[in-house]
Amino acid sequence: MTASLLVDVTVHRAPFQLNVALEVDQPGFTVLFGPSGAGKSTLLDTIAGLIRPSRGTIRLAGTVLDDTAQGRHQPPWRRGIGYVFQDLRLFPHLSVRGNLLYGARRRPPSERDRDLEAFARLFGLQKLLDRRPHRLSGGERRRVAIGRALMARPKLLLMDEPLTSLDADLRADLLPYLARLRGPGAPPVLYVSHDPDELLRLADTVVVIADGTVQRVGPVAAVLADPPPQVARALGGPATVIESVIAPDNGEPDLDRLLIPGTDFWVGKTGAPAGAPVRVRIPARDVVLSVAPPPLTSALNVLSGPVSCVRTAGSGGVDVALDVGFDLWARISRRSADRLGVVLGRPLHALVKAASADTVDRPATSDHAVGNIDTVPRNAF
Amino acid sequence: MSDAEIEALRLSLRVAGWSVAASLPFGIAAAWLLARKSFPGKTVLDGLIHLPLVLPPVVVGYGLLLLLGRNGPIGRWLDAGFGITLAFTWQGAAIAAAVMAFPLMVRAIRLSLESLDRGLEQAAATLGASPLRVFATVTLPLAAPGLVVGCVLAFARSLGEFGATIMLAGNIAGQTRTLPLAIYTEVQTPGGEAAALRLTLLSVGLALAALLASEIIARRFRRRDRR
Repeated sequence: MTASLLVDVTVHRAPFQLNVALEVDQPGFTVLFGPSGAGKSTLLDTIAGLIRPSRGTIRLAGTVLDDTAQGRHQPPWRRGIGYVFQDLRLFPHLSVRGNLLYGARRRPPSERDRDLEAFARLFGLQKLLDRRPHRLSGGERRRVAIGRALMARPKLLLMDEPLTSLDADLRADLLPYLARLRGPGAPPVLYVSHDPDELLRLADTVVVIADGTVQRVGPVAAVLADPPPQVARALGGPATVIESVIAPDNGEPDLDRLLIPGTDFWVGKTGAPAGAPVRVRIPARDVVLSVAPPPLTSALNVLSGPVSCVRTAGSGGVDVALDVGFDLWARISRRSADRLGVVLGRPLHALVKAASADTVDRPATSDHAVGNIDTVPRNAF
Repeated sequence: MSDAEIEALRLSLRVAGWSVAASLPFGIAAAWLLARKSFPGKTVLDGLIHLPLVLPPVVVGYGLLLLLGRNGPIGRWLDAGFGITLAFTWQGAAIAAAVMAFPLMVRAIRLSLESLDRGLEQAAATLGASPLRVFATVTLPLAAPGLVVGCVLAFARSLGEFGATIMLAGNIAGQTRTLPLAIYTEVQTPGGEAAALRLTLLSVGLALAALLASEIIARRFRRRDRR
């Protein structure tokens, strides 16, 4: 179920102006990434209909939500767009059950009750249904806020930094719940974040927003390989992102081996079981290039291939991609590039330490990998 | 207590109760307009609502009598069209009390509407709730502490209304002689001091009970809405 979203708006919001043209037609997570104050929340408010754009159009699944030229503006309650606010905004005078059911009032009671049970189970809220929000923990509140938005069966779900201000343990607890939103039948999610870790874990598509406008749109691997300058520092420079699967047990206590065609690729122990899909991020500045096959070094991963791309980095260095089955990026100095004689097609060897590869769980969008999905009724992923 | 005193008490409760009940919808509407909307004449409306707070009650009562009396423009229309007489009836007393108490009620409700988190109303809208439903299921319940305080203040003010009541409704035993009027009458009557004292203590007790009840209810709401 893909509802394509078309946005082309200007929003004046002192002290800045937001100018965004954007098309989202992918299911899964589209992460709006950018520094704080870049206008990401304003964009979500505009899409939700809480702010009227001063110019432009917004369309969702063929329906016009905003069209300033024709003076059309559909109010938020007719848009069918769910919103998980950064400050959650749970209704303090209603129980968890009352909060969850608030947006489901128009559906037949039997269907509503079935949804309530299913979503309560999906988000681990069964025992909390009669509590008031002020008696919930921070993580529980967030789960209620997400469940409440989904209970209204939105065509699109907006999420504004739902993990911000949580400590690391709580974030780790919540991420699997968020990953469930990638199951079949879930609405597409537009997710605002300024956290590189969330980006790596959740994003299918990345939209980089900075200075009030869209800087880049693309799959996560493409954007992280060549991040726009406004977010390059936050992301730790360019990086290679690959999707893989944990290989069966290898006998190493502190390492996992990944199934990558043509090579063994070692990463630090993830704790994920064999067969689990993972996403690996290899920072380009941690990749060492060599003209000859290196002798034995401490770097466990040696990948070889011809130079497939060379570009001058903004900081004066050179980014070099080797075609090792995928494009592996290395950030080296201009001097190193000259010494190695880097030109397109030249075969080189790359050294990557297992410890420098960030590896995150990446539950697949297909149903088999997602926890309690079979307990949720049709279409409720 | 004599029958007349009990009658005065019952009449006072009835007048104050109706005063609050009848003015509550208007109080909510006025508070909402003043808290949420900007429109030409807002300052004038605000001033008009607060006028009874600063005018001598007798002046308000006389104004009401001019409007609602049998020869007043509204009174004549009510009499001819519906056979309703307000002047010198207990309903007239309730209207006088309502007008005098209105500013207190509007102030309390307006304050609670202004301090309400608008984000919750936005959240309700994104969950598909129409503005009317948002008002009924989010705005009003969250403004409930202010509604309670406003109603209690208005009730207490209505119980004590004297000047406007005597102008519009007179001082008719068993019909418009509320507690304050009864006290006044007893004091004017030789040998009525004991009865006046009883009624005075009764008034104090009623007012205290109302304030206490409002505090308890408001505290319960605050605990409920704690976030």
